[in-house]
Amino acid sequence: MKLTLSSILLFIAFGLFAQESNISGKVTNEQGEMLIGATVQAKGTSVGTTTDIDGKFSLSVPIETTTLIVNYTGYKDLEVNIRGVSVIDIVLEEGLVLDEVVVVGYGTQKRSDLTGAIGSIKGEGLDKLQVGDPSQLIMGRMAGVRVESSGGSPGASTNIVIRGVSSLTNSDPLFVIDGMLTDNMDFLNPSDIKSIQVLKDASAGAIYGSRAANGVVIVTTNDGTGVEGVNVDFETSYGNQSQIKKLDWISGAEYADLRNKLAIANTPEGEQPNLLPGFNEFLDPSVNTIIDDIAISDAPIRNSSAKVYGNAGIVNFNISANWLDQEGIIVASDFDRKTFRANMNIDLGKLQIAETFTVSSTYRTKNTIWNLGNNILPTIPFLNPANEGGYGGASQELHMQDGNNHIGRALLQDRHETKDNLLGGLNVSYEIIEGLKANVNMGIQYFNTSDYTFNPTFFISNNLDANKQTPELIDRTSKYQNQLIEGTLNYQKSFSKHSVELLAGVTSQKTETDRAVIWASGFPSNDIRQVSAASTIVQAQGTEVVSALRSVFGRFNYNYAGKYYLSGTVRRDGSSRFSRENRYGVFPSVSAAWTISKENFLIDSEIVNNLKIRGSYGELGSQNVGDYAFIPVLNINSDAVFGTGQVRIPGVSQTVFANPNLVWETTKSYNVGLDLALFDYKWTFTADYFDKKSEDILVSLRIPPTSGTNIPVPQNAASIQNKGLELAAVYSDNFGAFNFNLGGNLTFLSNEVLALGDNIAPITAGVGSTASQTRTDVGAPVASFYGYNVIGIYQTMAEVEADDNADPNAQPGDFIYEDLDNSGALTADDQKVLGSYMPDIEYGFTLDANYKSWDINMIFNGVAGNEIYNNGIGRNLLNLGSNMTREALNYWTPENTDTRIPRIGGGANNGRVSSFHIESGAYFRLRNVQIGYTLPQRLLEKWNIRKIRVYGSAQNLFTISDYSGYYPEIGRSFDDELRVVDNNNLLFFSGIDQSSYPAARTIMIGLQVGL
Amino acid sequence: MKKYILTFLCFIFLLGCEKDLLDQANPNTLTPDIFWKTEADATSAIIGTYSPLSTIFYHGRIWYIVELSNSDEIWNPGGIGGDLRHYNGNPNDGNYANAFAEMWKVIFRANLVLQNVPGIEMDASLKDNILGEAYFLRALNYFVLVNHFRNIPLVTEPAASLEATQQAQVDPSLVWDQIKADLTTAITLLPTSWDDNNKGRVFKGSASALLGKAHLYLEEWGPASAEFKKLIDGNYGTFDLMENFGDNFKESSENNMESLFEIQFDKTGAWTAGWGSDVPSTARYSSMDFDHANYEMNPWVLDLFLQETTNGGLMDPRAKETLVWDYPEAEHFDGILFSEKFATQLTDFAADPTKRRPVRNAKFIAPNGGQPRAAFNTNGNNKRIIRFADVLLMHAEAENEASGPTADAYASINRVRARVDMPEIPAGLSKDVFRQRVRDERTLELCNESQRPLDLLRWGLSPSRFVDDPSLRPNALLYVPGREYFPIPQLEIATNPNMVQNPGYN
Repeated sequence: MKLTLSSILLFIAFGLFAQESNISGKVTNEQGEMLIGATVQAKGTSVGTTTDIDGKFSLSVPIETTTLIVNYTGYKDLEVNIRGVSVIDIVLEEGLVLDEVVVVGYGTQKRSDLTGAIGSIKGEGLDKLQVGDPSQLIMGRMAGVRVESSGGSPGASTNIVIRGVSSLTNSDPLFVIDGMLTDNMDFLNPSDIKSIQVLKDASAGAIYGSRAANGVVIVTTNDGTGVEGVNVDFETSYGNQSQIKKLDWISGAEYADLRNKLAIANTPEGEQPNLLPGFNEFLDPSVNTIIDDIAISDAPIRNSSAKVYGNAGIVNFNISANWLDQEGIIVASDFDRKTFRANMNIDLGKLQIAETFTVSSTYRTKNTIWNLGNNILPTIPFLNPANEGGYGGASQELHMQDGNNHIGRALLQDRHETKDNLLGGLNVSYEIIEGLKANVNMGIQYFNTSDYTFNPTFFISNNLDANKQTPELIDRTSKYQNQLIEGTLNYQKSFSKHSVELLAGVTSQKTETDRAVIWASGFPSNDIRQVSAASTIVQAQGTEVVSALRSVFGRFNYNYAGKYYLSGTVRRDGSSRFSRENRYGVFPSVSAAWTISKENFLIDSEIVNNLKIRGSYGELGSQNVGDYAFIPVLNINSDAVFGTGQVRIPGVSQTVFANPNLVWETTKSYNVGLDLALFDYKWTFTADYFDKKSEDILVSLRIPPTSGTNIPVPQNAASIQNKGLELAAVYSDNFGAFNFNLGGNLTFLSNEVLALGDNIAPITAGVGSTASQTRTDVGAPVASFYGYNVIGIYQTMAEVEADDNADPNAQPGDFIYEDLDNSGALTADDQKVLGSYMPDIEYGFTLDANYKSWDINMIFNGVAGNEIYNNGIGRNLLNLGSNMTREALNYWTPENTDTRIPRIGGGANNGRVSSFHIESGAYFRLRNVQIGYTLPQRLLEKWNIRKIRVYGSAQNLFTISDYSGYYPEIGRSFDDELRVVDNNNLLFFSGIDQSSYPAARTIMIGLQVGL
Repeated sequence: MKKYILTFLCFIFLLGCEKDLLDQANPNTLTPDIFWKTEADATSAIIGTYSPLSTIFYHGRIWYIVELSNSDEIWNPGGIGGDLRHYNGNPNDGNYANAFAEMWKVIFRANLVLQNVPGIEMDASLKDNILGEAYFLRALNYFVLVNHFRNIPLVTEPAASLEATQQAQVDPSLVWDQIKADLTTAITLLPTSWDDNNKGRVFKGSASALLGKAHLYLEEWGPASAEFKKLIDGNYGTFDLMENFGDNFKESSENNMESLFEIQFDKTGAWTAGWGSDVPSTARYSSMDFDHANYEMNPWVLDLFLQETTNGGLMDPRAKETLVWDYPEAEHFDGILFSEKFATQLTDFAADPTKRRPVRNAKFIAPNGGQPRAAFNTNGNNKRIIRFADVLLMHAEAENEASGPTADAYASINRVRARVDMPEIPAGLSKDVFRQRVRDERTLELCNESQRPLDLLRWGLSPSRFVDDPSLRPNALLYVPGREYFPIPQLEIATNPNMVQNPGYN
């Protein structure tokens, strides 16, 4: 049905742009002053122009155009009926920029009526950033909203953290996509998005109760309203991604020389040094294997979309298709996404029906082996045809080590992830009497994922992971279904100066996830890669998880004369994740605002156009506890051997206690804010201060072994505080035909764990087999870097012997660690918090400007006060087993003492988790710049084309940073191949640069055509 | 207009509620509310109670090694349990903690069986048997815990809440009382034997032997002697010594007529499947070949074997079943000639008799066809916990302590010696001399069967034997009073505010 409809609409679209008429006139303000550079546009088209120096304009519009839209910075938008008119004088009313409509939970509000803290981006700016992941649209543009990009891996997920990490389990916000509540938006095509609102404080979020503690991201997609007739848009762009920074790796010859020098230095006097053949008689001096050359290269990105949208009678619609095809700059990584979307509104007067429908399909090749780091020696040829699979590696006899060529492994491995997503929503509303609307909202989301790995047989070296005798396949699949149904009643009434809005609703949501893992080995050939050919099923698992939520909610908004505002919200949630006794939670909020500028003493002010103060308090929840966690589980694998045949007899046991007292994590937050507009709304400021304390945070409680189980049990015990200040300013003005809009935002945030709970050990996590780089403990931010503090290098044996804090194996040339516990020995208590991945300050600037046919859009963003744990330098500077960077050559020797690099071969002592690895993570960059040129109307008229715009854009054109690794944007960017200590929650690995996938510089050109 | 209203009402209709939406049961595994209903559930639950005994953390490897570290028969080379040889047990050592946790798993699971099985409608005698097994398994683990850790809580029902998991320690005598009570009950409930498919589950004789052993350890000599006598007289079934002493240590003759309780191992599964977790295909085999076969023996053991000869003037046949040393043609477990493998040590010893003579364990070790053993997973041989020969020697000991070296006492020790053609011990010995003969016989018969550590403790010879003779255990001088018992694992101390660390470890 929908397909038929859309093909008819497409057909209609091509028959439309035939006749035109001319209209001209001038634009003034109420004082009769000419407005220069005001935009005049035929409604429902992109036919438009700007007024000239005399405030005049002239425009050819399609003959069926009945309305012009006129806007000018600092003035209220105006729609003018031009039916039967060819010359018209237009007068714009000042102000009221504030009356932008903002989407809030279960409704909309005028910006001037807001009492909570809501960030919003919408309109033009959105489609000027060519990104794969919609989350990236927000980066740098909204105070208090951190977008943690996982470097540059195509298709990698992005984390949005709103006002700081407030849970140790899950800090992701709730996403509401066209009314559907879900937990991500990465399946959307960014150019389908009309607006994104972020509900930051409790009063804005409380309507979503138990889901809103981490904030709410409300996404509205394009629906074709506001367009008259039918438009067809095509857009295509093509670009190149390139490596931003290369590291200064030493050559094969230098490396061999280094190995030989060290061998000689470590040989006692009078003895013959044992020079390894791999660096001498078997050294091929022409071999120079540099990671950046073999693994990183320029990569193309292509993005194409088409959409048909507009109005046909009672129907508004928007149908779009998009294809994004992105290669990664690192070998064995790419991303491909196809989306199809059809939105439609049917206007039947009192009855309104809206539907949304999205299908998307993604294919992502993941290079998770890159994250292991690069330990091919520069003297080893990358390719070695003699080895099965064709890649080279070091050997014991030639190099005294087994090499694992991770790049070769990644190229041999097939690791890809597919995701097919379907999201459909239906919204029906009916106006029962004036001001009273009933609304039913339904949604279904469905996705299938597969994470497929095939490891063929190969040989690189004798190292454990560097060869495989039996092919192996692991396929993890999941099926997810999410159903939502909601009913709301909304009543709005104004009488004299009082204005009241009431909302009441019920909702019920159910999600079901089925997961299966199949792990098989032994295939007849490396080319046969399906499970049924396997000789052995190593593991086969399947689980199903159902969770449900049922809620009632209500909201009350009142204002008096647009001056005094009061709002209250309450939501009561019932969740299947808690026992009957603890199932229901009530989440209230209150807020108030005072528009001071409407008081008599300010109402006539020439300077102050708007001044409003806001305040709110509320309690929000998180149901981060796992499904069924309150029900004890019996284990069905407790078998035992019996009988004369000594066979295993199945047994059942209880291996874990349940905690029936689990409750919601609760976040209590205060917000005070100020909105200010000055000088005819040319300047606007927003400031918010918040203090949010999250309590009853879930942690794992270890229970005594004497209980008979030793598996930790989730318990509500920890608390975390996030405090911060958010500032945003916009300056809009025009100089003649040059219109511009300059925005800036600045966020200060501090995060602190206030308590972990009794009997709860600090949470540690790290990469590698034994070390943990982060620790979450009371008094420091979540996932702080924690380790020893390097205060120098021992220069002599006497220095080592004099220091009772020295490691027993310490030698001259080793790190001196600060004796923090004064215990007279190097102990675990000599560690301290070394830094945090969380920036103290985040900031962004945007510029939107146009001059006649030219437009420019720029986004800068930066962070400061954060650290990176550069785990890579552990290998590149301290360890002989892999590629090394040039700074390593400055290693300590008795002759070269003025250096920060310790002696090579110090082993475990210098390899401790220490401040040596800590670097500043601050950066400032030009995130995006786009320059566009729209072909003049008179040319297009000849061709019967509504719009042609060409643009060039660049991402990450420059980045200012002192970071010594590839790129300072680390995120939580590594994958499951790494061995991890204690913990699988990636939050606790934030900011550890373990060969993170570096972000790329992307240069693109694009073409937009509108018919 | 009506049409629109109707349309809207149709959609409203969809809001109809799903009943019980918020009551979601876990579909992936059994939960207690649907378990404990049938005979099959009761059987599964008791099998699950046995399950921890054969894991890698318990008798499969770790506990086996940790416990043996307290023996003067072996000379612990370090590694697992290595700190023990210094009397330097570290509460943070995961090896203790893991084995300790396995013991409590058995107790917890037995408590669940005792709590839930009585309410199941099922065959009455099978129900009794299962309850009897639960009593026995609980008693067995309390026996190990109270002897090695001494100060422990006494938990006889599963914790009803998370708070109830924090139990305080009790006077050890209360634990002993519980052990004796449980075993007395178990004897009445257990079967005399099991069918072939269930061989290896405990029976009346197992409980009786452990009850006698409990009396013996408490120096309740009369009741101990009486309990063992019941076993010897066949009150709980027929038990006898195997004709061939070596059959007690072979996989081909497990659960034989001499056996009263064994840990059942097999060769399937994989240690990589998860240590100590209840996961599919976890290993249930023993590391005897790998760890135990490499242990050095203290030479006094060999000397003891060589002191006497059989009636035919030959070496005690138990010597070569128990030990391997440089006798002609001796091969170590990996098929290499002992004289070659330990050539250096043998030369050193020949030159200087004060040097250590190389002697290794041979019990439970299966020759590997001359191949070296690379991995742990080659031994499915059951570990014998109580056998009839032990019962006879314990009887002789208890009888001697209660009434002096009576005819019964002589009969029991001589029955053990007769099997291997060793001469009867001289008649008319004093109580003290007889006592020493029994003690020596325990080493000759039971060496390397994990009896010695607790024997030393109950005889009051630990720590003195080690402190007096550091050659038996290097650095034993680190001994601090209290350290003849293991420390309470740190995880328990950290998570249980009611728990106090054992003396000597603070």
